[in-house]
Amino acid sequence: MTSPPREPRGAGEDVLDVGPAPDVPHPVLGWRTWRLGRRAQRRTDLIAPLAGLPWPSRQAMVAFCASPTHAPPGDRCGCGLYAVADPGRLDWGPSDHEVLGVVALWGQVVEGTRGWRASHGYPRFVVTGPAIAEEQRAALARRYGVPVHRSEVPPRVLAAQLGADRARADALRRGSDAEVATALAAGMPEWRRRWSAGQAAAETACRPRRRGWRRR
Amino acid sequence: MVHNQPLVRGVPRGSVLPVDIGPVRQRFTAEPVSSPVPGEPSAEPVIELVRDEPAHDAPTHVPAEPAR
Repeated sequence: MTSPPREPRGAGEDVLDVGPAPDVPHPVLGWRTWRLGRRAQRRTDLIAPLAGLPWPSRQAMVAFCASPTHAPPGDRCGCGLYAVADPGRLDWGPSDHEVLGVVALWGQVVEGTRGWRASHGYPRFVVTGPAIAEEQRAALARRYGVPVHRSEVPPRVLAAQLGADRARADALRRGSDAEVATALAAGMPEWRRRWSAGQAAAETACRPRRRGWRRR
Repeated sequence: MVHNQPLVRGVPRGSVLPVDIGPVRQRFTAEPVSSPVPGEPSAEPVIELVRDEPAHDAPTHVPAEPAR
């Protein structure tokens, strides 16, 4: 495993002095999004949606910061690998190839009130939408060596529904591979029903009123 | 939320952050015992077995030499 270098603390450095740092022997688990590549060569790439960088397979993603004053994650800088505790807080882009997942973060970690930024990360599991084919999911799972699940609702819808059910979201975030698979399978009918009901309500609201022809 | 600090390689200043993690609460080091990366060796703690019995061929008591 990659052992990150200890961040030096010096005068004028962009690091808050928060006292003795508690070391934990496990990674921090948080929700985040990735985007799947559309081109044939990148269809098994998990791509950081903002930076557009592919996460490496079978090795840790290491954060990079252009600032010479600190190594990621700086306390007063936005650098580092992101994750949040509440999947409902994730932002989504326009791509229908974005996926939801849980990432393991470790190394130097900055904890905020809603999530974390860290120096090292690797996907824990991924949930794709129904638009992603079985073959692509299988190839993704083989490449990264992590479970890739299929959601019957778009990942952004799943994230929003999990955001409203934090107990279930936390159980998924911290669960074992088997527990995650079981919980997703158990919850999917309910999530699909809610999504379908929401879509039907939206269609009803948007349907134009039938207006009779009127002679002028 | 728009950032004006360097974020990660390839992200221009002024772009939108993916998510807001809120004000910093604490900073710590997480060093997992088992690697989150599949296939990587785990950083298992090394346990040294220390034998607390004296060896049979070693003298347990050495008589003091008489003072001259």
